[in-house]
Amino acid sequence: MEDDQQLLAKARQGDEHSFRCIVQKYEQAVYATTIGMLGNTADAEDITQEVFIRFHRSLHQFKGEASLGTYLTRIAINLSINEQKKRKRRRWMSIQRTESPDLQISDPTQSPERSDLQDALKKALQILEPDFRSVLVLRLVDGYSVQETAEILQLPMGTVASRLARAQKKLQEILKQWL
Amino acid sequence: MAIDYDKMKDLLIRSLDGPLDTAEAKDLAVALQLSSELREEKRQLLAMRELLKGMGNIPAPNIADAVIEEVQSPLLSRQLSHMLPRVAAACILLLIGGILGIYFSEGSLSVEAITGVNELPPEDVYTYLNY
Repeated sequence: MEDDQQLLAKARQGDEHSFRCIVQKYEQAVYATTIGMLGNTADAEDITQEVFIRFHRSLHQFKGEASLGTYLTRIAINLSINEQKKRKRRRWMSIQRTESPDLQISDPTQSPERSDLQDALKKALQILEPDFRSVLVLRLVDGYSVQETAEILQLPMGTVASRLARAQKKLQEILKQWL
Repeated sequence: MAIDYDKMKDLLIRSLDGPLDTAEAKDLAVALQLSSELREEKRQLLAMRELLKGMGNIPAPNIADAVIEEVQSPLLSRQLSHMLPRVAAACILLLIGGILGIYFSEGSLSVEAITGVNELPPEDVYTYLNY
């Protein structure tokens, strides 16, 4: 199997098959990031596609300073955060002042038995601030180390560690009845 | 022995992402032995992390075909379809601006005001209407 550098070199020369291999190799990792950041499956799919389309447009600008996986994940995080800002604007414009019902997971009448844990988790993640969510998604969903997470987000390791701790506390609080 | 619960919880969370120093690790081990509440916290945290890990395994849709199709579509048509809403918005703004301009300068939005006929001398109007 060809490594990333070989695939990249061929993709830059216009080889469609090599670019397809790159997409197939990283789509799962990128999708994990977008689904963690956005919760919504359809949005996550759209943003995952957009990540690879943007990457294709900037194939010649990718210098290989970071690994390809790290680079794509960084694009995924940035696009997901932009998408959320757009969502907020849309929500504001449609004057939906109340919180979207699908975010209200702390319904005391809803027993853990009736709720899908993964669904509850996706919704709970949406309650976290994007800065905290991105750290949690990279470290615990994608499985990057604290150092790699810091590199992707271009933050000091101490900041990542403290956000990670606070995000876990908050998420545990939200999910208490499901755990 | 009294346990500083908040401090121990912080240590517990930190311990899941990296090694603690020897003294901290020892304090946490003792606290975990003594406190069933802290042990429950640990269980919950581990369960939560396991759930998060599972999110990474949600199968991704096959997007390769859609991506390839998109990147192969001609650049011009991609840019045009991307720009279309902005161009349409600009045209609507221009139209509204034009109508407002006519209204404020002519004081009316009649057909004569819009076509400019009301500013023509009568003989020119006659010529204009005949042709």
